[in-house]
Amino acid sequence: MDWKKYVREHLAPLKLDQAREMEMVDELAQHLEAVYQEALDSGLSERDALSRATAHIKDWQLFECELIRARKPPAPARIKQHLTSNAKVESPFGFGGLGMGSFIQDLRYAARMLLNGKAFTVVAVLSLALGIGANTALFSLIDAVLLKMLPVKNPNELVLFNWLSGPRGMSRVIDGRVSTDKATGQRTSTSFSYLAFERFRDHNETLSDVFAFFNLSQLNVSLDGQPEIASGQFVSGNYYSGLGVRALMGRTLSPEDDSAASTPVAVITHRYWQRRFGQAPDVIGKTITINGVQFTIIGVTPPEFVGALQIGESADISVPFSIEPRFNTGDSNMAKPWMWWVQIMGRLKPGVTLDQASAGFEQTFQQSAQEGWEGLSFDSPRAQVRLRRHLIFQNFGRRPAVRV
Amino acid sequence: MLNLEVKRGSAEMLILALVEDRPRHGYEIAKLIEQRSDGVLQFHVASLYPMLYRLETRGWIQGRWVEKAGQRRRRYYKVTAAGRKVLNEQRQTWLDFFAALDRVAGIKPA
Repeated sequence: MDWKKYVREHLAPLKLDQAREMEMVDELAQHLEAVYQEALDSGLSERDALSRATAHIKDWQLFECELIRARKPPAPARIKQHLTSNAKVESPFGFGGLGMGSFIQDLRYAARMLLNGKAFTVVAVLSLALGIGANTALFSLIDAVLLKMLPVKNPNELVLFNWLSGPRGMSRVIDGRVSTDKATGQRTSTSFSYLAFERFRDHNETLSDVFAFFNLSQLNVSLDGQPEIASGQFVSGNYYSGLGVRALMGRTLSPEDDSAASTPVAVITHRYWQRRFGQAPDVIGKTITINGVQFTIIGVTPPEFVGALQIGESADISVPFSIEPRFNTGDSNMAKPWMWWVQIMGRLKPGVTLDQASAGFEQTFQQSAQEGWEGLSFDSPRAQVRLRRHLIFQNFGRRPAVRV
Repeated sequence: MLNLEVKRGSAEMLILALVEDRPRHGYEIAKLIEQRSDGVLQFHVASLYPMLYRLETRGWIQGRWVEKAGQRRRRYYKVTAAGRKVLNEQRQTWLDFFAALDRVAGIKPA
């Protein structure tokens, strides 16, 4: 079923700008497709799933009417708009109307008042400075507290891989936050290709373990025919052993689960077990459908553990990376060297410094970086490529706030 | 004093509240409203997307297309500073409304 075509056939032109109109069609099509997929997952026949999805929007005219109404500004805004457009004619500034004119007037007035009351100005500036200083101190305190809260074995030994980009970028697709490193001004991120992770894991001498994870944020879950949305993550088979987290019930994932031929299994958090299963003791072995794939629940993690995702995020369900091709209907990202999406962590061996550990991975990292660059469609001759990337480890015992 | 805008405001408040903590896409918003209200509240597609459009036009939410590995490209919405202010005001309006109901008819919110 081509849902975009279906929406286009039913929806009259919306009189939005062309790009926004196409986006609106996309959104509607995705919505209907999600309803359809969910209906299929819950066991409905294709025909019933179709009629459930199409029933979601029967009155296409209502949609158009709602959209017309949505384009009208709220009453107070209309009044303001009216006043502003009238004021433009009389504005002494010639352009910008009342809004800009009064803003400039306000600025001038504020400057005059501040110069008149010098003592007041000094006090105000000092107060602001103190306020900013206090916020910085508070942030540092939170930083230290949050770090220690990661409820795993020896969290101060954990390190998170990230990179600094060369001048020409890192890879064709980077899924994850990319920011500018304050010290160097270079782009930095914690996303790597899955191939890079495998290399780090297999050519590692300085860390006791190298494991990976990826935030799926939303999973379509169906349990006993009841659909719902849950958060989730892909994890490598050694994720739990690397973090030092043991199952409260059942077992966690193991390296055997990394095999593409393995049976789909899932580990759930204590919170999800509580919320969805009412702490039923027979949860282990239950079948759950996630994004159309059937999984067996093999374990529940302890109550205090919600994963190593960003602070404030948690994953109800963890499934092995080996299942990713099935979620992605055969178009797997695991073998794409230019798709940087996986987050990688490790645990420092006793006596190894961050610098030593970073240096130990430099060669394998350069290989992955070269691959990421070669995937770019606007590739330049290799001689001009300047790969100045470095690996930086963030010690969770000291600098977790970079992940906030 | 409550006015006719309150009813429409409740739908706006639901959306603003759901995108307060993290960005969400339209389908997720509709599902969460249904799930969390135990099916009592339901958003029709014909109302949801125009409302998202309206909130975005007003600058209360911001939509952005996000392409994630393992997932298709989707438009995620998050609340803006202006939207957060409106959300807080609407929460207060509803609290006042519930308090008034309680004083008159002895009805407390769950």
